Amino acid sequence: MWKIRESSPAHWVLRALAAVAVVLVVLYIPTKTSTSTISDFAYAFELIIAAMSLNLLFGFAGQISLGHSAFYGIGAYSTAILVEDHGWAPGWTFYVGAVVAFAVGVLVSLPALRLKGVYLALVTLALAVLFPLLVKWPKLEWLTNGPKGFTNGGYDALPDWPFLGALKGRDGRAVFGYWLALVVLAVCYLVCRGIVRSRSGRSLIAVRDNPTAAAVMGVNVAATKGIVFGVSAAMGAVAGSLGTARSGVVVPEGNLTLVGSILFVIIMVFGGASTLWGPIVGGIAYVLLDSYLRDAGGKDDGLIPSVFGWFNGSPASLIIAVLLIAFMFVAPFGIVGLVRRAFARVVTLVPRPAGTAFGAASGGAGLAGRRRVPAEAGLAVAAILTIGMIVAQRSQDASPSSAAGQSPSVDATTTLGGAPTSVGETAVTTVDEGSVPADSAVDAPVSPVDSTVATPVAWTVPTDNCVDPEAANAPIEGTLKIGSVMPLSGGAPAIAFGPVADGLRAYVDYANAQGLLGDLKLEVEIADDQYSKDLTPGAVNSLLDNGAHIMSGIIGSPNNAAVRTTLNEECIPQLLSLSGSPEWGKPAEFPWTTGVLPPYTVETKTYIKTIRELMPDGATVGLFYVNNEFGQVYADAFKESATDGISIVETQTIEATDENPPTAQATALAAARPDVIMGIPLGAGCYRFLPEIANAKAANPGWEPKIFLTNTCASALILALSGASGDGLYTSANLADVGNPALHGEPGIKEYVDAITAAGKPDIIPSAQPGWTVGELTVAIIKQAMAAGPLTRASIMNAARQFTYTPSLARPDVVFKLDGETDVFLAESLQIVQWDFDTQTFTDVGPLITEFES
Amino acid sequence: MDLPSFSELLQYIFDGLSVGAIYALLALGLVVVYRGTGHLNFAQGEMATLCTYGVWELHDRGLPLILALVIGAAIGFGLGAVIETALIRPVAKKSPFAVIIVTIGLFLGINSLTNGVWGPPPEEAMPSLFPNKPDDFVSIVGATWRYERIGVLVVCLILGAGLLQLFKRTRFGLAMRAVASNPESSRLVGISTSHVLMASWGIAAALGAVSGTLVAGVNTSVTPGMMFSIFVYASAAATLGGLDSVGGALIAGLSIGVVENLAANIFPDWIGQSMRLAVALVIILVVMLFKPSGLFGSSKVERV
Repeated sequence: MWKIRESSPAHWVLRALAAVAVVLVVLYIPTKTSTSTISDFAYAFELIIAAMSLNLLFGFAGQISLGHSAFYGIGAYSTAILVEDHGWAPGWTFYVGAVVAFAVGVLVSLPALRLKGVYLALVTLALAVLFPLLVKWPKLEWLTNGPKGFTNGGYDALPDWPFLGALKGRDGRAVFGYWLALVVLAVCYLVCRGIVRSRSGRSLIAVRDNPTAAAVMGVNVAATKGIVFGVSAAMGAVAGSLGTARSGVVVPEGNLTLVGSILFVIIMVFGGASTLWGPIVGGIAYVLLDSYLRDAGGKDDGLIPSVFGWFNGSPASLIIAVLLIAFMFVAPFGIVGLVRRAFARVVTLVPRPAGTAFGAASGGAGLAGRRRVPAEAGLAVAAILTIGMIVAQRSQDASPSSAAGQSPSVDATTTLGGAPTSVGETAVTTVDEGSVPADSAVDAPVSPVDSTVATPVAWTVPTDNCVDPEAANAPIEGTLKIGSVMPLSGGAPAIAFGPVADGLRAYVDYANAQGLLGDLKLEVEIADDQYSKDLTPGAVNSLLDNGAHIMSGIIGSPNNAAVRTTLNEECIPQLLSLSGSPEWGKPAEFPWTTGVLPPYTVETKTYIKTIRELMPDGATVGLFYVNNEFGQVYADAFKESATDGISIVETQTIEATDENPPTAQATALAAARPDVIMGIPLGAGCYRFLPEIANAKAANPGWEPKIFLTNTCASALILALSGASGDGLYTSANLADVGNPALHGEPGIKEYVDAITAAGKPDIIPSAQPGWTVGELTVAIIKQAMAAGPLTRASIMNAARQFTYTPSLARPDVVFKLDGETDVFLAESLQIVQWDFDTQTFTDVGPLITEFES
Repeated sequence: MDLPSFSELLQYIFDGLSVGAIYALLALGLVVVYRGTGHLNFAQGEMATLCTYGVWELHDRGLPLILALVIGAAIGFGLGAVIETALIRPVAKKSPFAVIIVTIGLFLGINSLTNGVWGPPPEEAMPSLFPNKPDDFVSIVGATWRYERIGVLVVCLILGAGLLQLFKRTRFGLAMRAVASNPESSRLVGISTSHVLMASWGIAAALGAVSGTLVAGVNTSVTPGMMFSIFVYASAAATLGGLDSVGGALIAGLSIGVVENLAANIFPDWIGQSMRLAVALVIILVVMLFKPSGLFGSSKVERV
């Protein structure tokens, strides 16, 4: 046992050693580790700040809060709104978010003054659930952009200074984001430390331990609680602002909902509540553990999959939940508490004998009576930081090499080229005559075209402004690695989309076995983001660190949006995004991003055309949609096209997280007695909705609406669950109905069915289809790029944008086609089909609708 | 704003009572736990889902639904008792906060478990205890009320009345009230506090099995997240009724169902379906601000 006195030289040596260790770690991460580790830590810092703010409130003031996700959300939205709608530099928005959250926090503290324990937990729980509802409230849409949220909330505006840290050809913003989060974290730490160790901190602890006694001692309990609530809320908002700056995408999901509040509690408990270092340790431990578990869950071998073989998807959240409960038993003060206990066996710190408060159970090492680093110092650092960011913003605007200056080099003449019509089972390079890119700025001969073809490529992707132009044009030999990000764990999305990952893997195996690309071997790695856009950037970084050459088939709109800027600046093809948002057809702004699903705009036009044919005299429509980004974008597209005799008479929504039947919505729709019901639900809503409409029909004799259902829902698997109520509904498809066994002998489909059956998963045949198709299209694009010249990221992108192909699982006559800036959507032909409940198959209605092809 | 006609108004009230009955059922579970132990069980909804999967498994193996439900509720009782003994009581001694964390951990863990074990929902199709074909409804002055929904309401009222009797008329109920008001003194007079605590969690979990099975019947299948939004409504109902009042939870659950449905339909622009839940949340906030003990709950006086 070794005793040292507080502030003795030995104590200072210990402190100095600890400080050096921290500095070394902080420097080591950005200089020596991979980008994915850097971005993992940036994300950890953000969560740490949120957990720290919660800890200030709970750990030191004894006020539990399950509502910190709302404060986090206030910060996230403040930054997004001010940057995207008002053109602010991100730095200043942190303050606005903090001030707004401070005010809200003080307001929330009013009921909190009277409440404690479960009552306070309930109030703050209500706040957490209320926040995303308010953000989606139509009356606030002018401010918050409704369920669509923001996709350009400040990531672009971050400077990509060559900060201390290894760029390795990757986006400098990942490193800047790390340093930014670190500095903000340091400021927040100092603020917490300043508060906890000051007179007000001791008042807090007194209020926590015995409010009545504290009041008697002269502590103003109300003011203390109110202010600490406000400061805590402000700090939570800063974390949210950082979250926006990290990807630029904000939607009312994920960490902005109760999920976030629970996450912050977990981090605080893991690290150790009531300790200053707890949230820091907890945040890092959580992020590393979570990313390890998600990685391990996606693999087929290793410890986690062998123990959890019976478990669908990754057991990440189960393990974290078990740990959370276990911590309450073995380590109520978290990891820091455990370490402290172990440390106490070796060294005891003897507090200075001066008149200090004794035995304060704060967990802080002895409460010395003097003020340490004042909170004002933190504010000064924050101010300097903001000024720095603004300067950076200015200089970046002036610089020609900024991201905004990047534009693809497509000459206007390309639009004159006639659309080629060659279609075939194999990829055919379609080259227009006479569309020479006159733009001499394109100096890199990206894909030197074989002289026998002799026609220059019509559209070439620009590589001048790439973070690393050489990497974009470096030949890919031997093995090509495809990366993708899909939800593989974490509930309903993983269940719905997990089979897509199996389909993609199955095709890559098939392509390798068949030698479709000659000597080139394909590899595929699919990272898990649990359908949360907060995790997508980290997943993509880890794929790139693992050597992925291209991304293909990333699932989800916010998820694709969250990595689009990075991938475009780093010039990594983001092929075949699995989302129907029209966002993926913007070759001028985002030349490296393409989508694969028919855009909602085309799907809705197809339905409206069919409605007109069924009801030439006009029709009334009742719209039913899921109240999230997908539903909102889709419904907007429908409203825009519903003109001339088609009128929307009733609109009803359902929450994406609500798995209960929309009875009231169906009643309201029935009351308007529309001729057509257009259903745009998601997940469980797909099969809950139809029986409710059937019930409403029974209650309203004579009302026989035609039902149209978005093709996102239109799988035999889902419709079978609706029973007879789905019989006769209309939907659309461009892929064959592989759920129908009668088609299993068809060429193309047979290979697919055999491969999925051989993988031991015959039950996912209907739902793995998009994955297989994405795989097939990716291989076809690569093949075309190889035929045109050396295989590089740039040549793959050029091939992807001049591409005509019919996938083997597509319906007859469906052609997938992209052509530079002329045709920006791959799939625009849809077949209207009708669901037949008796045979459990889809029957075609009318011919394939190709008129919305551009 | 168009004022609704009488039959429309009646329809909104029927629909509101139908959903309110489900909120009230889950709220009863919350109240039983709170009365017995003073804790709020954040995992009440997820425990109900887990029990419902048990009922589904039994039914899937050929048991009649009603028998499966009885066995499921019994298993639920055991599960609740085990959770109380093994997980809640040991940490409750440390701090009430620890209990909140453990129930949050249970919420997360059970949710992940049901997702992991029962994975894709399509197979777990659940029959209803009541007739539920499209034309199984009664028509009253132009408004329709489905038999299934009436059945849920009746079950909810019967269980609520049963619980009231249990608390008021039986020795066990007396013991429960004694333990809730002063555990130390009750132990001194010979009441087995541990049995009472176990039983309150057990009863709550068994109630969860019933409410989950009814919800799954209405939904036509069991899904892992089916109780979450119901849990939020149920906690609003428990708050409004007073966390320790059985009758309060019943009345509050039904009235929240009616009020939010009326609000959503009468003010489609301001509230509508998307802000229904917000009505319940605002009720929680307002009750907490002005009368934390709720409408029928007993307010606690703290001795200094």
